[in-house]
Amino acid sequence: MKRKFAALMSVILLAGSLAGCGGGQKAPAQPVQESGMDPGNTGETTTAAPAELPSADVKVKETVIVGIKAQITSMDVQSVSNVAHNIPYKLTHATLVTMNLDTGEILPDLAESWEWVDDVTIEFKLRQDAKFHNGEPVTAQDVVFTFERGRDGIASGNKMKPAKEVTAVDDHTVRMVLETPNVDWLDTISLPVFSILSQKALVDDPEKGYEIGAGPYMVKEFVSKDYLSLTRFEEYMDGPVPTKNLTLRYIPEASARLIALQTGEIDLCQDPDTIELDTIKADPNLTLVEFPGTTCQFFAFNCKDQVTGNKKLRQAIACAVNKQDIMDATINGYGTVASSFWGPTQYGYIEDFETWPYDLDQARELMKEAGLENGVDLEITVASGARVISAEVLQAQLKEIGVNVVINEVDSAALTSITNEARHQGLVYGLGFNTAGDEARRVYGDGSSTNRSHYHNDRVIELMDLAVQEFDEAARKEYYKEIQEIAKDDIPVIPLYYERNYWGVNKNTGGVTWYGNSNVDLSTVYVTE
Amino acid sequence: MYRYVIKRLLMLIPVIIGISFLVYFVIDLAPGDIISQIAPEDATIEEIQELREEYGFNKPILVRYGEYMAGMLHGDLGTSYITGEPVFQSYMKRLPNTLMLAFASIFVSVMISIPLGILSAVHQGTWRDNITMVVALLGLSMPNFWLGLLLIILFSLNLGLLPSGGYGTFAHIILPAITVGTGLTAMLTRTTRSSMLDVIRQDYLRTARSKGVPEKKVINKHALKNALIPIITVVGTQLASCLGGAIITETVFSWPGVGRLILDSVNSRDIPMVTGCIIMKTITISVILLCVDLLYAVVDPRIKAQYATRGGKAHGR
Repeated sequence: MKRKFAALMSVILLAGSLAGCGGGQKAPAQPVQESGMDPGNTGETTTAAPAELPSADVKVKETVIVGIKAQITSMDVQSVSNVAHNIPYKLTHATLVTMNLDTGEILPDLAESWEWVDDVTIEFKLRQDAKFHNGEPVTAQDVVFTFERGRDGIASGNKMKPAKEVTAVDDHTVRMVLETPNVDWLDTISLPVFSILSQKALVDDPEKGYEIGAGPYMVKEFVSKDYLSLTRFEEYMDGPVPTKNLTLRYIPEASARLIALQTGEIDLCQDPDTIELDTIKADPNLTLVEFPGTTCQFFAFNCKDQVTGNKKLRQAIACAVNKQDIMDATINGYGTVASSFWGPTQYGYIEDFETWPYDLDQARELMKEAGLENGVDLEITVASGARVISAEVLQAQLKEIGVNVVINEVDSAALTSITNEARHQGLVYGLGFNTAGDEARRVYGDGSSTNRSHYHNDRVIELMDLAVQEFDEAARKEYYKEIQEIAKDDIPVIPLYYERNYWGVNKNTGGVTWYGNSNVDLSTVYVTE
Repeated sequence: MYRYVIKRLLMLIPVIIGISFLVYFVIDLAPGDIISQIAPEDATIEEIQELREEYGFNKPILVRYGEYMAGMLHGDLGTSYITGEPVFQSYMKRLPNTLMLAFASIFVSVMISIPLGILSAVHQGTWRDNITMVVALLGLSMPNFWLGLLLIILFSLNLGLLPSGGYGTFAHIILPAITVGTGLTAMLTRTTRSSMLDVIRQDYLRTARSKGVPEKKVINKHALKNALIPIITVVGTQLASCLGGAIITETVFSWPGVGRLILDSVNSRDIPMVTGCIIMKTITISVILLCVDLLYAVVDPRIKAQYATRGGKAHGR
């Protein structure tokens, strides 16, 4: 009995000691694979590391498994548009054009060439060799069908609105007529929500025909909110990709995801916890991939609220916020402080934009000008998670100037409703920026649900309208510069920081394009044996 | 007995109506709705409003509930707003995983608790008794997510014996079952102990001993059998609780069970999915509890006699 008890206690103690040294282990750092651009000089000069294919004599694993952090709920490309779904959609479907998501360079995909006929008309020539997974060729009629179907799609409906008319000129020529001139149109239609669908597939099987695309992988099995199993499409227009089977497996818990990578159950691990990055660096079988992100964490004011509608108060708060401290506390410093509420790879980004300084004296002065020298109460709404830490740091920082912050922690569904209905005062949230200049409309446009500040400025609207129709680059950049200067003065949003992106991968992994906006391209991923 | 079974099944109807009503209304009262989850982020406030109307959210809650229940009467539990899948189909896809995990966890719990409870009762007041109770308490005190991660680190990462997550093979269920099962041991060990203590002092066991029946047989055959009723009650309750889904364990081990499905649906305010899953869960748990009640009759002939003579009316458990 004594021996049995001793054995039992040994197991418990062993387990305890292993847990103790698991997460926070320090060891000599392995090389970190850096990829992509630096937010400080993005937008023009930097590129995502191009995916390299393995040489013919290298043997690659037949099946690659990727541990993902968010659920895939639907494989209908027109029903959802977010990072969690863009990654699989790029694997199974193809768009007319694609783009380098860091530089904004438009690249051919199903369309081998395109030409602006006039300011609002564009003509695409489709590749002759492109096929859908059902063996049918990709035709202009499929493009027309895709747009017709997409106008009713939850995610695609709005995005397709600028296309007034889409017609098939012949089997491989498509003509698009836009409502108004739109410099960003090619950028827009490179989004996976514009993936071209097979008309025949959807007529034959209206329930699941949307799974048929012209991308490098075919859907083998999809279990919503669990996993997506793909198999290589041998007739893919650019030739078969290196990996035969690719599975995206949802593993919600970050530590479990990383352990699965360490045990070899998965080959790539999306977004490991920042506190566990040293574990990846210390593991000789793994590589930590690190690249700057374009998701900006921000503190937004509700401009319609009686308290936060006071511009001087907003300016005072902008001077009292120490962004570096917030970033250090929230994500252990793994990011870059933001100065303008603009994507670092977005067209019109200003590298050395001068924002409000961290200056408590100026902040107190502005509080007086706001008529609030005796202090004010402010409610900050935040969804649970790391952003709560940001809100807590803000609470401590704003106390210095007499702003008494009350944190209202809710879940994300409640937060969206509260902000849509303008029932908040302050909000800590995040937004991923893409490359188009007109992305500004998402945050400063009237009625946009991502304009969390309910901000309206006639001049900003006018400038956005001018910029999106302006083909002269210098003039366009001037418009965007003016928008940012107005936004700095009105300060509906205080941009806090851009998060860096991390993936832990098997050291033999290759073929991935790491994009800063998190839309990582896994089309040509492989793991050598 | 049949009358008793039919009566219990009929009692499910008001229970389902009550539960569906509560769930439907509580979810509706919570701030935020499904539209905020499915609307594209570039949707304007007006478009969100249109979507709300399209999905029927402009109708009064009672009308929506009535429509839902009308569908349910035809066997339609609704369709998920998020995935577009019928609720029944989604639930049934996950139910086998939940059942498997629940039964495996109960198996682990029973395998640990009953021997420990017997040991503790037989050696009441000794160091064995004290240590058994401490071990049982340890199982209860350890948070599931912590124990789960510990087991993953030990058995998957360090020893490489078992997979760290996922499902599909027998090996996949071992760690989640230990994690959930360990948490259940404390209650069952204590119940076994006290029930055994009640029984081993009975005269008929003294008689058995005096007749020369070996002590092992006295305990394992005569005492345990008579101590089983409270143990079955606890096991039944624990099984019912496991069938609700072990959300934390399911998350740590990426185990796609009913618990995670319900939690995700609550977070996204997917009312048909939440209501449908909870109705199904209610039915499953009620059936399991009914089976447990019927099991009493198998174990205890006196209860069987009650069913036979009074149609179960006197059954007061």
